[in-house]
Amino acid sequence: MSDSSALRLGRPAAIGLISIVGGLVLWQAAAAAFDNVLFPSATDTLQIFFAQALSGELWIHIGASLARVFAGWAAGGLLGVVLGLLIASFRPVRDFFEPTIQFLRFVPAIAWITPFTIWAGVGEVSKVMLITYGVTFMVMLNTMTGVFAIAPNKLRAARCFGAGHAHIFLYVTLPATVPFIVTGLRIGLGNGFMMLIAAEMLASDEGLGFLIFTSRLYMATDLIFLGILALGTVGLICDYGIQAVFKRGFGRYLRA
Amino acid sequence: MSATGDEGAFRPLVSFVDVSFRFGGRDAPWILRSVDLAIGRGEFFVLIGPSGCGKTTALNLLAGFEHPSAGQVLVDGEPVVEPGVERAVIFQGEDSLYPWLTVEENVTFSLRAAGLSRRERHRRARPFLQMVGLAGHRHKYPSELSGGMKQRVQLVRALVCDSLVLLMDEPFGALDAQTRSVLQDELARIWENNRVTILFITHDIAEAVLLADRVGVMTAGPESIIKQVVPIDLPRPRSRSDPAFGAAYGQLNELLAEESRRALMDGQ
Repeated sequence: MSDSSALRLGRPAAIGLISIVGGLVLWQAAAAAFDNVLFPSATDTLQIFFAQALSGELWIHIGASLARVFAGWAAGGLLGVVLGLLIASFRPVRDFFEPTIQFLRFVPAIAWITPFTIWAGVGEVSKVMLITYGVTFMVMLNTMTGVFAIAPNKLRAARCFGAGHAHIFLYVTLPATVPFIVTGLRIGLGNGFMMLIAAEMLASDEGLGFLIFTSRLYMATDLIFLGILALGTVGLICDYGIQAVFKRGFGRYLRA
Repeated sequence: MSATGDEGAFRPLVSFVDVSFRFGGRDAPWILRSVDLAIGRGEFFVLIGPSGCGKTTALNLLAGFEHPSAGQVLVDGEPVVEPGVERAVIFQGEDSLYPWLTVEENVTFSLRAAGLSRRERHRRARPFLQMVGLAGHRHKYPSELSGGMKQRVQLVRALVCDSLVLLMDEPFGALDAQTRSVLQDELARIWENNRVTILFITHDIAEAVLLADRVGVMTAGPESIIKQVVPIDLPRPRSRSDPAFGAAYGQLNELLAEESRRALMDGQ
């Protein structure tokens, strides 16, 4: 039993590992064909990683970025779930917000950088606002999709078996929507990172976006690569984290 | 012969009085047209008809999911206005179960909505879960159950309500033949014990003969009515190999085939 479950877990992980190692080998080989200043190799990047990790510089950037992304993601996630549930569940609310939503769908979050910066300054607030905007939208749309996807028989059964509006909302609509909310939160986190980098490139003193953008001034391509690598790694870990937390805390709501 | 022909003989628990139904406005075709039906207290009534004839619509009207465009649906003399536990529905599909709730939580949904304590809910559900062999599975989730077990969960979810009438919409239609036959016998046994009033929809003639006190045969749509009500006077428990079973089957088959042919001709 434990053998087979170890195998089940082990096989995909092993295949995943092959892709990572293969990618690194390809990278190293490709970099050998170019000037190291333009295209640093995997080993160059590893070197700068150790230097930056030991000096503590890297962790400051990661920490600053993570704090911003998490604040915006948490706020946007909460807002997106609440808005999505309300808009999708109540017809008048939906009719009211529908045109606004369709309008805003075509205004990418990045377009809001300038007004947000003018209103809230170049500090943390405008960055978190921008991330919140990007996340809210994605979570809201997915939550709405989840509400619309509820099998009509589930709602009919609830009415038949004596549930009122509030009971249906809390004990049918909300739990039935959880898988879609999780998807929204995962995609939303990706959006959050996108907004984060955009905001940090424009105005900041620290963070991975700042690291990537400023390093171009010194042609420090190895630092740029380190920033990109850190970004992907941090995002990947966060995504696995979200999945693990939901599986543990809300596992029963993720069943088919 | 009219469905309400024996109206004076007993006071029906469920009655459809001149019920018509269509989706939408004036131009929409009638699904049901002037349907009359009377189901007695404790009766097992099966409604049978060609596909698309509005059997499920009739059930939805009684459940309160839809409202008659004309006429009245009465239960115990009161018009149906909205869904309620006194008319518990066993749905055709398993998608009416809640995958995030365990078997016991699913079957006690109505008790929870009514505000009963966890202990009381457990106490009420236990005998019914035992009755259909689900007691050992009460902590499982629907995704861990077979199709037959899921329909047993639906049955128990309805039985715990102690309803006036159970509404069953082709509950065994999606099951394999073997499981269907087991569940039919199980339902017959349960009904012989509790004699709850049942409106049962099916297009399976053998199922109708096995279970029904009376079978209402519907005409092919649109503008369906109940064209004839056939009493099934076979002793219970019934056996599919009884010659009288075959005779009743033949009679219903004749009536139904006529309608199915008509539906096909109209379709051309």
